[in-house]
Amino acid sequence: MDTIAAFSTPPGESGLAVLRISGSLAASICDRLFVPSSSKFAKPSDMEGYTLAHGYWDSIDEVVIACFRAPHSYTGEDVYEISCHGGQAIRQAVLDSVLAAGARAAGPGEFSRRAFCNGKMDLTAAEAVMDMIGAQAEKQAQVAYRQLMGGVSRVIHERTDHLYGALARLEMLLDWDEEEERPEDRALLVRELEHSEQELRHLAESFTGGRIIREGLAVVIAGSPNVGKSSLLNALSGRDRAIVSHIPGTTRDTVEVDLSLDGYLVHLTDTAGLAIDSHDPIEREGIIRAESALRTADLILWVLSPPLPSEDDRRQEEARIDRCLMDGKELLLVLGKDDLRLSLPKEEDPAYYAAERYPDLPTITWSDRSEEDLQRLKDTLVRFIEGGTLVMMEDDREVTSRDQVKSHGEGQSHGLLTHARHKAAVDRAVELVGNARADLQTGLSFDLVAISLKEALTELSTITGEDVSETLIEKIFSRFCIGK
Amino acid sequence: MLSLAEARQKENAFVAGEADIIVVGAGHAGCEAALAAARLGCRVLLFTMTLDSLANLPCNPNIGGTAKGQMVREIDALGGEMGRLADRHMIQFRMLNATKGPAVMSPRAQMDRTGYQRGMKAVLESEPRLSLIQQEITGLLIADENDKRKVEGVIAATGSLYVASDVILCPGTFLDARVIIGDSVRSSGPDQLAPACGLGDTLTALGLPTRRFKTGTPGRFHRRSIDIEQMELQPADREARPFSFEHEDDPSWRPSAELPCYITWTTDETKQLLSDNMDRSPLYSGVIEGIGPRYCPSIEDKIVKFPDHTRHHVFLEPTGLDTQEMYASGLSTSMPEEIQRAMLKTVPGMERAEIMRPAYAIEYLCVDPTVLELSLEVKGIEGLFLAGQINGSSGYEEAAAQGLMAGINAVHRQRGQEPLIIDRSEGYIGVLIDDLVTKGTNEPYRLMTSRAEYRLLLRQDNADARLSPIGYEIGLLSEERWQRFLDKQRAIECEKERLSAVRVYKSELSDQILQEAGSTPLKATTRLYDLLKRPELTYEILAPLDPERQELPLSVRESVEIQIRYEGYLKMERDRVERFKKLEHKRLPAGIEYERIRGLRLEARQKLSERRPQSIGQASRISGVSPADIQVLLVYMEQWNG
Ligand SMILES: Nc1nc2c(ncn2[C@@H]2O[C@H](COP(=O)(O)OP(=O)(O)OP(=O)(O)O)[C@@H](O)[C@H]2O)c(=O)[nH]1
Ligand SMILES: [Mg+2]
Repeated sequence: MDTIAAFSTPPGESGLAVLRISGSLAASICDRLFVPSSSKFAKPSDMEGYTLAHGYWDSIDEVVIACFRAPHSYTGEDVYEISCHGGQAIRQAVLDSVLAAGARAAGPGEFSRRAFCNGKMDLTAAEAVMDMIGAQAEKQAQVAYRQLMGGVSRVIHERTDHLYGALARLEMLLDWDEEEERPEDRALLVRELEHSEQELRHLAESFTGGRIIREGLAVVIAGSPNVGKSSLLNALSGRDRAIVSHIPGTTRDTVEVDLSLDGYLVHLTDTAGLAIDSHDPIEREGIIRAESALRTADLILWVLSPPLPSEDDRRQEEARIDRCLMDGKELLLVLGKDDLRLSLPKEEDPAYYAAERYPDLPTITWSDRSEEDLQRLKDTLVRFIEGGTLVMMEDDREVTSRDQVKSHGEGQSHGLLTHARHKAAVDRAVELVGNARADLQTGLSFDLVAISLKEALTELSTITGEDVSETLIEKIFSRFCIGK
Repeated sequence: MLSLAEARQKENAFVAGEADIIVVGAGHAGCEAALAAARLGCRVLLFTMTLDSLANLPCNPNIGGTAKGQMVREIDALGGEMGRLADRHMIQFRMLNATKGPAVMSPRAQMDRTGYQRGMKAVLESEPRLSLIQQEITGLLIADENDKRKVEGVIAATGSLYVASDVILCPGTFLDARVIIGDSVRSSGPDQLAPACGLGDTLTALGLPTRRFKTGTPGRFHRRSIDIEQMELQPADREARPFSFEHEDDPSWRPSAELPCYITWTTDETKQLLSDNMDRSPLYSGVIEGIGPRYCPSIEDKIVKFPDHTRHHVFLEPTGLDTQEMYASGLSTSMPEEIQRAMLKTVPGMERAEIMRPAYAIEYLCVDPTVLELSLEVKGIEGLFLAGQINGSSGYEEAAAQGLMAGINAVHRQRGQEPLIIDRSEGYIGVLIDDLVTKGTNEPYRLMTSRAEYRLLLRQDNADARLSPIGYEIGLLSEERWQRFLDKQRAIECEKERLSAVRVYKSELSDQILQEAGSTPLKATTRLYDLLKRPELTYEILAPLDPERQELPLSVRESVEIQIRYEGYLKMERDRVERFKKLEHKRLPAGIEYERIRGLRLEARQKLSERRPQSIGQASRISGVSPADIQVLLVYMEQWNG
């Protein structure tokens, strides 16, 4: 039996969360990741019976682990339970580390099934177990559905098109071509595989997972003076952290505040308004600091509010935005003071200006007077952390972030989703496609190359839930004119 | 539906015959079914609409091809007839995909069509317990007691009754068949043979879900009217190889002829002509309702679906030794004759082609195969088996494989033995039947190698190793064949052992041989066994470094080479099969009430109670059954067993 892991506490914000690991690898996984806080305490695999230990988990969190040795555990196998802090980011990081160390995310009701199979439950419990599996599957189906709509599944679909194309070509050659191999067949396949390998690599890299979840998301608010930047910071943090006034140039230095959104850590930085020809030395120093803050941002909230700056000033502002984009920054245009926009003519409306000048940038409307806007902005940030996509909520149209390659998404995970599992599947697919390409180049026969490619698609299908064989046959018939 | 007792009460009722097993239809499925049942010791009645046309090849005049060729070898390894007969009547042999790897190497042979038919008739006639009867069967005798239905025999068009406890229906494409050429629609089977009317209604009355499928065939042309000068020659392989393990390495075996095929292409004019006349195609005008196969499109289909292709292949294939008819593979169409004739003028080398048989489309009734058990018995009707195109498959080989399995399983059923189920890791036969029964099909189903999960194990060279032990155990394979098989396996093992003992030392000769083959010279003494793993080297190339080598039969050399060269991959594949087998062997009890299993999702409950899979593995392949449902089933099973 392989080793499985999942949180046994319900998802959502809570003080403590308990991750349960069950199976033969449980002890060695804990040995690898757990550092006891007192030196007189032995390593987890030496723990006996039912014991507790205090220590650090993979430099993520201070935890307590509880050991239940087989057969005296819930499942009848070796079980370790890790009690960590309950924030989303910590939960995710702890789970990721355990999965990366060789455990598998438990399926619905799997702990109970094991308990049942190992004789830890009597027959009357079986029905309850089945009910539970059913209920959890339903919930997972909902999550999976959300993923399919919003995120990873769709992106994987897009990113695997070349891979399917290559395998479809290969299978066409094997099943329908009937002739002997031509040198150009091999060359073409190599090219197609290089392409899909690259695509999958980008996909793998796009899983920001680790760093942002562990270290927090760096969000920098920027824009011209008096557009409402400090008001935005105050609203998001729920505190009067920055001074707000109707006088342009109120904020001189950068103002930083840490906040937690749905359990994710966010470092928010407010900056001095980027005035164009400032001769005030304090203001100029503020602008330099603002620019350096921008360079460290994971995400920039660029605020545009009425009244629009003069044409010259606008050009300067555009140059700054373009520079950020060129640096590869993710940027969300915040169309501020939304309450004032209604009464404006088209030419003075920042929304029209933004749509014309930056049609590809995601935008969000914002007014510090609207609770709804605040929630929407928070949702957008969480969405970005989880999925890397910025979503335009105005018309329910989803706009992926500017750089397609970087974009991906997982939808809301709420503890059911195992980020690391997806990453692992994609990594494995990359490796398999790489092997297949190398095998082609060393002259291995097509039938063997096809094995690796099919396995790669099977790995990815664990995320998308696709029937590889059927999809493939579909592709073969739609792409190639088959049949004599 | 009448029971035997009821039918007997009727005026003039006449029981014309009695047997253990009745087979209806003497196409490729029916012939294999009847032969297998008779050879296993049952008395068999085999009915055909006409004795002059059994085992017909009404479409492509060849047997084998990708995946199908492997399956013909499997049929032979189990003790079926198709391979042996094909060996006797082949007029061209080709090993397809010889350079694309052992998993996809597929034998295919052109047949002497009428020779094959006569050959099959002779085999059937000489089978002691088998009676061949020309008689159309229009109905079934079904006993229906306490909701248990059971087949008791058949009713002929003449009203005669024939009694048997097991009936295998193999009506091919004849059920309520219509032949379509342009706007001419006639009630007819292939080759102007009469369609089977009546049996279709019987199936509907039994409550079996039916639908209409469509397929088509190109014209046949007189050889003298084909200008082969304008075409490319496609010769037979230099070395023909038999399908049957019986003829393997037999120096006296030879194909009856080695005729070539010819290749030409359609042109822009072909495309133009067909596009201009698309409104006359019954496919697009709505005359044809049946669902056609995507892998075997008509020429007008290809032009509509692939507008960028300027030309399409046409192969001219011989159809026999006693005929001048040439089959034009690639020109299948249901266009009216006028367009067919105009089309020929646009194809180089066929400008003056004399049509001997025009191309046509054929529509026929078939049954949704998900109503079958994996044994091919209809669920809920004891003793009634379906095999061949009635199950939605296409192809002679697919039909023959099902016929063979239905024949064996009808015998097993009446003897109270377990059904013989070939699983997906054991043979293409298993892939074919599991696909049909578990997943169903929306178009005429053709076997493909890509449908097999364990393709590397399902090779043409090892069909005997996979299935002959089964064929022998059930009693279809003769003692002599079994001894031959054991000898071959021993020879393979001996040679593998020998090769792992022989060492090659670094020498001028070894350097030279390796370099000539594009390989790197030896650094240290190496076993021949390990040298064979280098992709650029072959058993043949290494001969000079292996002076002790005995001349071995091709079949042994081939198996030895593949087993050594692909050892690592084969091992991986076998590990995967292990995992697969675990779920396959978890049997689901017959009486399981899915509606009452808590935790199963609604869709899964419905699908499972409808399909009634035999194992957890089979359940997992039903669309609509999720991994979580499988978990629930596993818990349920624990409870059941506990
Ligand atoms: N109507 C309206 N006024 C707003 C909104 N947000 C901010 N304001 C007002 O705009 C003025 C400037 O707000 P700040 O938040 O100080 O603007 P800022 O961008 O930080 O300005 P600097 O620090 O000077 O660059 C204040 O008077 C706010 O009350 C809004 O959404 N709607
Ligand atoms: Mg400010």
